[in-house]
Amino acid sequence: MKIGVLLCNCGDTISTTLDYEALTSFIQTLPNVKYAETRGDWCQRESLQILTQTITKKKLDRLVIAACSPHLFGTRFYDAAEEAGMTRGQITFANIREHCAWVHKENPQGATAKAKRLIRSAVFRVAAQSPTTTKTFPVTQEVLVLGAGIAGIQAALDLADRGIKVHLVEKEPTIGGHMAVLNKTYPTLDCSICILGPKMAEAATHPNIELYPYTDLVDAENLGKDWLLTLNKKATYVDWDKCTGCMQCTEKCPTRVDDEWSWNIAKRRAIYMPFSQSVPRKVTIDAEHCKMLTDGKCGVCAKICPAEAIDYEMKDEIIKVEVGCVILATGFKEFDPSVVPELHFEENPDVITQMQFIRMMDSVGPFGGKLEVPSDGRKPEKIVMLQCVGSRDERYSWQCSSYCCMAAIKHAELAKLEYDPNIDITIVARDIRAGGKGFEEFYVRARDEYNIKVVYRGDDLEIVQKNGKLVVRYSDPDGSTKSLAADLVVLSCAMTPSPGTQELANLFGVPLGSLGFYKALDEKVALSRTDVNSVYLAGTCHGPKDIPESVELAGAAAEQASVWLSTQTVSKDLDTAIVNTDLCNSCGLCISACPSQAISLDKKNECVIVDEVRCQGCGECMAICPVGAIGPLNTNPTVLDSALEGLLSNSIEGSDSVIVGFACNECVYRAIDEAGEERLQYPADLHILEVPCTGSVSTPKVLQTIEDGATGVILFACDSKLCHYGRGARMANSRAQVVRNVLTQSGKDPNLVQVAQLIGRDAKEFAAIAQKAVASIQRSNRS
Amino acid sequence: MTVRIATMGMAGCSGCHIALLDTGVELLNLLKDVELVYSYPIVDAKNPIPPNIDVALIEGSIRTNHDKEMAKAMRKQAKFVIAFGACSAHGGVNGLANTFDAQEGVEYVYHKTLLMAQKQVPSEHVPQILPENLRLSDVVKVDFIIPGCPPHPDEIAQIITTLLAGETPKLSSKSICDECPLERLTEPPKQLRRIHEIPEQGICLLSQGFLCMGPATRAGCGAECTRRLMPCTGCRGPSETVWDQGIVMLDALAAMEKDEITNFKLSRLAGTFARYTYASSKLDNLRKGLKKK
Repeated sequence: MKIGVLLCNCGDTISTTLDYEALTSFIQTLPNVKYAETRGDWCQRESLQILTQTITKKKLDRLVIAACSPHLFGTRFYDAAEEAGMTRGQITFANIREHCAWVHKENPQGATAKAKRLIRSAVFRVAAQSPTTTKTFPVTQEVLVLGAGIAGIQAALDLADRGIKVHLVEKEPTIGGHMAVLNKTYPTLDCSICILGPKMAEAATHPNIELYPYTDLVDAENLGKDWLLTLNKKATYVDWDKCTGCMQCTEKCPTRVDDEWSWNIAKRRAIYMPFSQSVPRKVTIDAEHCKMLTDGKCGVCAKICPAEAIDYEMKDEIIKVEVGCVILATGFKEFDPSVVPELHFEENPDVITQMQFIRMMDSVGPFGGKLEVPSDGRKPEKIVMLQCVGSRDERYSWQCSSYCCMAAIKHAELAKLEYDPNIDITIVARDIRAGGKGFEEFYVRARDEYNIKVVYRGDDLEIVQKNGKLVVRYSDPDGSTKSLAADLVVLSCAMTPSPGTQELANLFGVPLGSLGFYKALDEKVALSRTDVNSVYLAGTCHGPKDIPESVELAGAAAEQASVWLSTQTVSKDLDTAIVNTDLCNSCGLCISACPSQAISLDKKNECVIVDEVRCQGCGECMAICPVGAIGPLNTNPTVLDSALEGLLSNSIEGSDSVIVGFACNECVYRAIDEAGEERLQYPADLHILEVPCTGSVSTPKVLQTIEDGATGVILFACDSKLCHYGRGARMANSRAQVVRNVLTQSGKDPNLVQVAQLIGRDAKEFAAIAQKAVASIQRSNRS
Repeated sequence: MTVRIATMGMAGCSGCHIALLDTGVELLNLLKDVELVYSYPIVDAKNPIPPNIDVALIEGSIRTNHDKEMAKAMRKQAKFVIAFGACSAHGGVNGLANTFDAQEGVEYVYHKTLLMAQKQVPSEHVPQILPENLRLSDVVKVDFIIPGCPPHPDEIAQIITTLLAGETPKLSSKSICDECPLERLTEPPKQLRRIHEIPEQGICLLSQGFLCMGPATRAGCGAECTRRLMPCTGCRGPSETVWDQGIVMLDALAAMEKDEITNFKLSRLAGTFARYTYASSKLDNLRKGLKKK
């Protein structure tokens, strides 16, 4: 075995903390190291060429890269080494920058000792690793778009026009989403449905688009190359092949319920069409409220329907679809202002939201375009709009929802233009944000030409009743308290994630940001991509956006999806689970633990076999196997033991305490990288050992690590709801409890073992947890 | 040439000796080539240990200083020492006593139990109890183990036959599941079930929620219990590559998110997951490690 070690000082940004002379001489003492060289620019082209030549010349068969995070320039090194015939399995990284030099700036001695351990661990580990093979698998040339608002429709059309088959799934009986009921769009006051309507029609008739209205996504299974999705086509109780959309039934239906498409200020029937431009133009029975379906008494719609389309016996239908990638376009939900106590939203019928307001003013909406005060039906003379409800408010969301300033101005203008230019309208805002194209002109025109007043407020705001009248009290920026009387108060509410976002995030393994919207792979340069490389984001499910921004992101998502499909195949570096058939007893524990259904029994029931397409290399099988017969090729028990031996064996000057932090190679590892980038400091005792998933670290492995001399162990798991592999984080948690219990029962301090769950890729949270956990371990070692 | 065999019983129940006798007709065949030179559990006579013993089968764990001395004496005379049965090989059920303090145990027996109440702890003419229950290999070098509580008669006969042929016997390195005919587990059990509940025919007991130690227990018994729908209690100790028999099974259940087991008390933990191996288990090591500190 000939191991080469590349030591990088990153143009001196690492060597200010680490002692490179000491590191260099230390590397020489490590077994099998036949080549070691220090440079400041290993990631640059010239150096990488030297690397390729050196591998060939020195006949190196293993490589350790002691430099920055593999998530940064890993592929460059892989490419250079692959050019010389090496495979990824023969390469390991020692992250001495983000995980070491940058985070222990005040402790150069400890950092150098830690770097030695990290490098030794990598050298030991790489020696135990095996070459990998790469295989390619064909990708199904179809895409599922979840959510058919403007973003979903746009993404679907973009893909369908390129000849890609699209499954467009919408949970409501109609496609179109919020944009269909916005009446007008800002800043040009174009008719919203006039822009959207043709797109809806095209989506419904496009030969490459299969439309699934009134359908929920209930399960998503990652097949490695494809997604196998389970859809539940909900029963509409109306045969849509027969329904002509004549709407006679909706006139005769005796049951009136709150109309969700007018945000509950109007009523609809139990058999209904969401709005008159619905696509498909069919009616649906609301099973929850229909008297026939709940009590078996009524049947009026069946009697009246000329097409005999009503079918009370209809059942939900389960549909399975296999696609190459998925675009999430699940949109948003208007913030519920009833949770804000000072607004008294539920007590005052005359306090409404902007969505309710625009539905009220829609000439084809449920009010037929009558602008009236809900409590008594009179014409409002004074309207006050309140901005930033649920946004820029630390209690709910610190973020600016970005669309609401313009939406409020648009609605104020519409009220003046279409109803009465003399209505007194005041917008109570923190600021007016008018950054988009034409927005400033739009705002200035509203203020100067239409006399829409804008006043600014501080933090305090309250809606009170005074002599039966509504009064808005707010604090002026100068500190004084001001009051405005109003006939109607309209709340400009934030965008919040649509219901079910969390569940979908779990199904697809896409992390959520702190506001509960899906998190992009990179918030600057990979906005439509996610951590999962075949799941993309379109529209407001990624965060508050207006229509042009939603459409833009939808286009980007469609582009990314088609790039993914155009490769035709998924290359998979086969770091998949390998079974030692001599040891396997076919007990089946691994089958029960595998999140990808990749393991099954062989024909004779003598051992298990692994489907290398499905296997994601998470290592849950390795952890649960009692006899060590299975594990990912290059994270198998021997490799892990070697890595641990490298960390723990023989003392190193300046480092008498090694806390092993097992960290999942997905979100957690990146959070640790980000902590490095932000130079967040934590104790140098903590040595990160990456594993595919923290669920791959077994109880015996943790206890063994302590037995072998670790000062303590920290299991860094993802948030249990966001684990890429489903149960991994929960397994880690459950195991940590067992370990802590075993330690307690044996009279030891359970705090030697800590478990931490990180939500998303939060660097600050990681650093805080690391400090706390390390302190706790150190305390229990002293006592 | 006849082979000189000796047997001996330490802290145990003589069940392993009964199993030896239970080899039946095979025993008669063996006795043609074997001279039983020393075996007080069978022949009921305590002579001094004779010299030149070829094979010694030692049953029971090391509980008293007498056990320890006898084991050493036997080792001196015997070429090949076999730890015979679970107690000798792994510490056995006796090993669970290590979850208690030995002296407190003695006090309890002689002062608190009904029959012995108010009696003095005998100090003369009796062996002294050791602070820990040990397995045979803790006090002498052991050449081979025959696991099981008790060992399977067929396996005993087969091992002795192999030895008589001048070959080294080998134990199965696999686990009970390898020999178990039940349909395999593919999903975590929905809930844990108690031993008195009645399992379904033909399906893996662990998948039905019964605590079966099969996956971590050494094969070789032919899965006699599980094929009769009795969950494996792990009497044959860990199979070859198992880190710790009890802890790996505890881990498996934890991974299946069976929260009931995560907060077990040591006595129950040990009695359930390390019933025959506690004295040689990592659980006991951890506890002892603390004592030394």
